[in-house]
Amino acid sequence: MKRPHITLDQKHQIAGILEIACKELEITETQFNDAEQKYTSVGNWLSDSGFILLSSSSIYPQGSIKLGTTVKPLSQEEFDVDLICHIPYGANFDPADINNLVGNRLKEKTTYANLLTPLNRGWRIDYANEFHLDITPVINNPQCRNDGVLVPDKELKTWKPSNPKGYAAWFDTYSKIQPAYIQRFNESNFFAKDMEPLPEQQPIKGVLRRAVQLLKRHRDLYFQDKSDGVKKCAPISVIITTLASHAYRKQVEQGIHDNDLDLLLGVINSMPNFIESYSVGDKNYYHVMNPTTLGNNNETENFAEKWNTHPERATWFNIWHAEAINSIKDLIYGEISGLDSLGHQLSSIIGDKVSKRVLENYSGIINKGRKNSLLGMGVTGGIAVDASRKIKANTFFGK
Amino acid sequence: MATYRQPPISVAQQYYSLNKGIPGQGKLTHKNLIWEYAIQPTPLSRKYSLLLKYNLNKSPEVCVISPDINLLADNKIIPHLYDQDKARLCLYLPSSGQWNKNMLLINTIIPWSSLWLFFFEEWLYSGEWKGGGKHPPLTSKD
Repeated sequence: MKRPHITLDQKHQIAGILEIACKELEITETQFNDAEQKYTSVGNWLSDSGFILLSSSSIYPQGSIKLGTTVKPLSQEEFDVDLICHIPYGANFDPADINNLVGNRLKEKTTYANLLTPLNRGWRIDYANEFHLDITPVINNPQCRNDGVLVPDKELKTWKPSNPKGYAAWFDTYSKIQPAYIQRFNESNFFAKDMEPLPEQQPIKGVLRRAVQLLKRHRDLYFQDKSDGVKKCAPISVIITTLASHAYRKQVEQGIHDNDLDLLLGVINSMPNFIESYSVGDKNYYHVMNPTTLGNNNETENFAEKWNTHPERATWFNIWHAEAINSIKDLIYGEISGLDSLGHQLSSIIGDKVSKRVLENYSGIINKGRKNSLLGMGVTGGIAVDASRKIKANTFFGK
Repeated sequence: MATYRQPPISVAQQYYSLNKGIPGQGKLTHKNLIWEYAIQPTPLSRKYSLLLKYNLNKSPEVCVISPDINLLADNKIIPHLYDQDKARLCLYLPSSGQWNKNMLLINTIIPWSSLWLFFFEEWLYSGEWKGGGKHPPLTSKD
């Protein structure tokens, strides 16, 4: 299914378009700053409380907002901003008590009380149409050598080991491992030497983060029309993130890639290799371990824990994963003729709405170049940023 | 004070610069030139064949020969065409000075046709023309 003669220039263009796509998918800087300001205020409100337990608390982000892998929700819903409320000395209390302590303090302030809803473990402050702050209270985990914490289980009965801060640091370290490429995007047959192709002059920024974002988006789209039972089987983001991280590290360490699209595909392809599984009798067990919770069995966190009680989740992971690979392979190696067909391929990964916005952004980049007379024309009529020969501004006329 | 008027670039000079500037083939007579050329606006765009006709008494005329853009458009009305059937492109604002006979076709009309095709493919996908432009008043011809 390799596209015959797919050129480096074509790969570069696809990479540039995926880069625009991921930027389009993630939380905007304005939204992020707004969320940061709001959760800092929440943190201050909690620590200003008279309660000793709360006065030593701190609030920090976890999950995609911390990892830089946010993905716009599909419909009108707001961004998830996942937060940890760390209460260091809560070890002698039940999760439900700690949870109530946080909730009661939030209810003391009318602004929060009006926006507050209880979650399974923690509280949500909902800023309609923008984002919601999901606050999970945690306490120190004295057993963990890795500065881990304990989070309430779903029923708020016991504490379970986790390590959001450690996980974020681990992910960050992996994402910074630099890949080596054979082909460079400035070796072009399409553009002259002094030309810079559009839309992007740089290859994908951070293949690991971009891989995670694209996969999460594809998952959201893939499961949205499934039955409620199947929807529950959608792989959780932390499983996707963890598997992609392992795969990324292995791919990069294994050697040199032609370019970042090949690396991206290699990462996505090899993710299932990092699911540990074994059988006892006719039952399969799955492990996707949190790499930052150390210790004995009851001190570690298995992100795929639910797969062991709901084995259909493992099956749906595989079905979805195969589908995701197909969509991405189609985009990279499939038959593309024309930007319109590229748009259609792209929409099978990120959806129609965002795909249209991506091509709109691409047009915007071209129009900006036209307006500022930065464009030139390559040997086969290709449009590029050209330092020497400029295309004069024009106005398309006619019906 | 006499106003100096630059003489127009001759069709022969135009032909020479086209020949040097963009792969294609053409024909040059005393007053007319035609140039058939291939353009691919971006590496993932289609490759188009276009025909440019020009003489000093007329505006340059560019038509898409292949692929059939009306077929690609599923016979929807394509924006910024002078002539839907001939697939003749509207590339600049007439009488605005954007183009005049002192300009080289290779630096103006040819790259504008590439831009037109870029926005055409985007239009095929989105249904909106993102390239900007003006529409002629209903009474105007050409």
